[in-house]
Amino acid sequence: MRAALEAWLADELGEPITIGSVERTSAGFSRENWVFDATWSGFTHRLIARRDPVGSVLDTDRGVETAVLRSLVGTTVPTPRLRWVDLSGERTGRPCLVMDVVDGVCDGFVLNGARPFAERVELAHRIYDELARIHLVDWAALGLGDVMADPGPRAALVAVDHWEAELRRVQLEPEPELTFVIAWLRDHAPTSPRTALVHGDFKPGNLLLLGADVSAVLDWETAHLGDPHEDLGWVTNPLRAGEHRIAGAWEPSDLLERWSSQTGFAVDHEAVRWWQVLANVKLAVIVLTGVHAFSDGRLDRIYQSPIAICRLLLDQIGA
Amino acid sequence: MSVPVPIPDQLLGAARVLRDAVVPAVDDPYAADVLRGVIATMETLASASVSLPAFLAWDIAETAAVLRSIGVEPPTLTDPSAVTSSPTSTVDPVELDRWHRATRAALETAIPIIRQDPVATAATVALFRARAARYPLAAQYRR
Repeated sequence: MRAALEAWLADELGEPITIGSVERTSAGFSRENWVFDATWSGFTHRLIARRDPVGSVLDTDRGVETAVLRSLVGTTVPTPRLRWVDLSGERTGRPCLVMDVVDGVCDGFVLNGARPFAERVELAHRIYDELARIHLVDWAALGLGDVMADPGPRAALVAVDHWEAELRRVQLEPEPELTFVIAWLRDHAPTSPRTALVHGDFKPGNLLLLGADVSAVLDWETAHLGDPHEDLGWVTNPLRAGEHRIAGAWEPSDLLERWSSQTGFAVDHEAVRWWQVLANVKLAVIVLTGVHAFSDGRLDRIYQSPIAICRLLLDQIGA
Repeated sequence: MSVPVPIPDQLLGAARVLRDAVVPAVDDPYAADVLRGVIATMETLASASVSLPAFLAWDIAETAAVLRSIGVEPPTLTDPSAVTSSPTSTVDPVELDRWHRATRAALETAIPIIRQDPVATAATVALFRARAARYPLAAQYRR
C-alpha cells in the first residue's frame, strides 16, 4: 500500500514525495482506512486513504461520495479536504480517496460518555444542528442534481425499492420476516414534503469532535437526495438510542423539535416512525450484506442472521 | 468413528487457545479486532451446534402448519431415505437444511396471501416471534 500511494501521490504532485509508515485502522466496517504521513515540498501532511475493501457490509458509489465532498467545500458543513481520487482502482488496486486527516476525536458514544452532563447536552445540540445544516444545503445550486437522482415526493417508495433490491441481491436464504415488513412499508409509505441532501448514516461515530465543536462530518458514502425525514428516522431509531439519546435530556422529541427550529421545516411524526422502520430494514440488509461477503471469502468479519432486528421490526409496525 | 472430544468442546477449546496464546501476541489493531470476532463466533457456534437441528425441525413443523392454514402444501423431504430409523430417528443434516430452506421459501412466497388473511397474519407473526426467541445463533451487528 505504501509504495502504491507514494507512486500515485508523486504523479499527482509532479514532485518527489516521502511516505512514512502506513497503518490500517480498525475503524470503519465498509471501507479500509489507511492513515499515513506524506512529506513533499518540505512539509509533512497527515493523510488518510479510504479504499474500497474486497468485501463490505455496504456497497456504495465512490463517484457520488466524491461529488458530495467536493460540492460541500465552502458550505457551512465541515468536511475533510479531499485531495485525490482514483475511481478506477488502478492506483491501489481498488477505488480509493485520499483526504486530509482532520483534527478531532471520533467517539460514537460520546453523548453517553464521561463528559459532564451539561456539556453532553450542549454537544448534542451542536451535533444535530449539523444535521439541520446538511438538510438546508442548496443541493441544486451545488450541482448535486447532476450526479444524484431527485426522487421527489416518492422518496419513501424509491428507498424501499432500493433496499429490497439490495436484499434480493445479497440474501443467501429466504427472509420471510423482511418480506413481510417490506410489504408493510409499501402500504404505508409517506409522501416526501421536500427533497434535501440526506447523509444516510448520520451519527456521533461519523463525526470528529474538537473540544465542544464538530470539526468534521465524515462518511458520505451513503449520501443521496431524498426526504430529510429519512435522516430523522435514522437518528431516532430506538435500536441506536445509546448513540443518539441522553436519557431525560435529549430524547427524540427534543431532537425533532430542535431540528424543526433550526431548519424551519415541520416534522411529520408519522413519517419519522415510517423511516425508523426503513432504518432497521436497512440495518438488516447491511448485516446480510456482511453475511454474503463473508460467505464469498471477501470479508474478514463474521455476521449472523439479523433476527433480533426482525423482532424489533415487528414491534415497530405493530404486528 | 467416535469423537474423543465433542465438537462443541473442541470449538470452545480452540477459542480458548486463540484467546490465551494468540491474542496477546497480536499487536496490529485490525488483526486483533478480527481475531476477537473469530473467537466470539467460535463460542456462539459451540452452543448453537447442539441446538440447531432441533430448532430447524421445530421451525419446519411450525411453518408447515401456517402454510397448511392458507391452503399451501408445504415442501417435503426430497430424499426420504435421509430419515434414519436408528438409533434416534434423526435426519441427515444436509437434507434437514435443504428442507428448512424450502419451507421458509414457501412462506416467503406466501406472504402476499397471508397478508390478506388476518388470522393467517396473526399466526405468521406469532411464528416469527417464537422463532426469534428460539433462534440459536445470536446476531452480531457491527459497523
